[in-house]
Amino acid sequence: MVFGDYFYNPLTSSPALFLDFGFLFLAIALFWFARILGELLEIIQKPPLENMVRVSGWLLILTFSVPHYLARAVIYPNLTADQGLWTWLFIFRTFSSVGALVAAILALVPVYMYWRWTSK
Amino acid sequence: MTQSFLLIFQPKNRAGRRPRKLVALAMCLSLMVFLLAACGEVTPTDKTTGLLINEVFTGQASDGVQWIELLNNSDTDLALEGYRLDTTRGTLDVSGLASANGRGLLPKGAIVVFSNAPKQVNDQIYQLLYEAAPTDADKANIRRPLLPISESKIIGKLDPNKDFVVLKGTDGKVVDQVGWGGVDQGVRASLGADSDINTNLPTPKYNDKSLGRTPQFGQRPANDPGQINPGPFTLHNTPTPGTNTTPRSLISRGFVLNELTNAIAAIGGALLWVAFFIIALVAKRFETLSEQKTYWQYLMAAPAGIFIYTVIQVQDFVRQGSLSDFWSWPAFLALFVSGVACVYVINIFRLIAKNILQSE
Repeated sequence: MVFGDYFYNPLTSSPALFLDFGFLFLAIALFWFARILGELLEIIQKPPLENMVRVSGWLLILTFSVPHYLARAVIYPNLTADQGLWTWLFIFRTFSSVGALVAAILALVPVYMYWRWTSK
Repeated sequence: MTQSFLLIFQPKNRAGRRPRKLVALAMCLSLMVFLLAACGEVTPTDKTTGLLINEVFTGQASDGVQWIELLNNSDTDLALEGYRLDTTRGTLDVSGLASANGRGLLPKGAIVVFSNAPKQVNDQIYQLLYEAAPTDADKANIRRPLLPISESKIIGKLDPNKDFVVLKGTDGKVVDQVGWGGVDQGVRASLGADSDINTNLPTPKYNDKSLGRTPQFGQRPANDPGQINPGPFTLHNTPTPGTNTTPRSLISRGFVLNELTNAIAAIGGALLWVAFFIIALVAKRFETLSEQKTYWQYLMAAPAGIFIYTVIQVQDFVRQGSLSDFWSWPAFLALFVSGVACVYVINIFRLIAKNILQSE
């Protein structure tokens, strides 16, 4: 499909789709774990840190899976048509990496805190 | 484990209805099928493995430099005897003009450019491509000379605002076509074009734009004809006459977009794996406290793919600065398997924990 000057390939390439869906599944796993963590934190009467895990899941989707999919479906196929898109590709890559790092920290902190609180 | 399986694969919920997730999944699949169907055909014959019109450059004025690029996307050398380009300005017989290898054959995967310029055109574009070519072989390829056509009534006379070009085969049937600016159906019919494919594209009436096919997967593998997967025509902001390689960026990535991003990606992957690892430790502790199985061993093993993905990334970052196409397969596949496994085992843990907490 063509939108404006750019070609859009919804299927992108197989490895790229594996990565996108892989992170999507990890986000779903975090959403489900957040439910358990919420109840466990309530039992030990600690703040509801499970929301950080939920935000982490959304970050994985919105800053990694979606931008990576867009980069592969829109930017990558059009590199032969527009050299200026290379810059956007680099920016998307940096954005995704930072998003994944923040998501990982947001997932790690509450899990680690719970583990530490229950260790005492 | 049997109980866990039963917990996950419940066919109906308490109200006797199918879970909403199944509906959502069906909708997603339907959307994907729709998108696939919308991709459509890219040539009038729906075949992209023969001789194709690959790129057209009209420039800003109809009396300036112009060129038409043809691509042999078959896996054999192609004799151009009998092929011709029909336009509203007349007919160009391409027989003999494309004798690139001296035998009147266009080699498989090769590109030929018909131009009214006596030498290379648009030096700026050539220089742009040349500087960004990944290898010396690519640079040599980019310097491929154009085939000048003297006294042509077509190349150099195309209307940048509205025109139509038809490529016809030896049997006189339309092989490929491209039109811009909305040429009337009557005019198209007079040229023998009875298909609506590529008939109303945006006008390439600029000196730095062309109408060209965009590969469907963003790749133009050299020396691999038939696998180029030429997509539909789009307006190219970087005209690329005479080359089928993908030029690299001319802009330096710098420290932030290169080294720092690599480091952030590696640290993020490692921390994500650590987070899932500690989730397994939490499940282990929960098992100790509740004295019921939580299958924490599976939780510990499931995120291994994240670790493999990160290790492969780091290895390629150190070796060549970015993840290679070859290693992206095992890396992305490992992460995908890990994602599926994590969803599966965390769901088991969630349902077990829910049952335990509710009973207590």
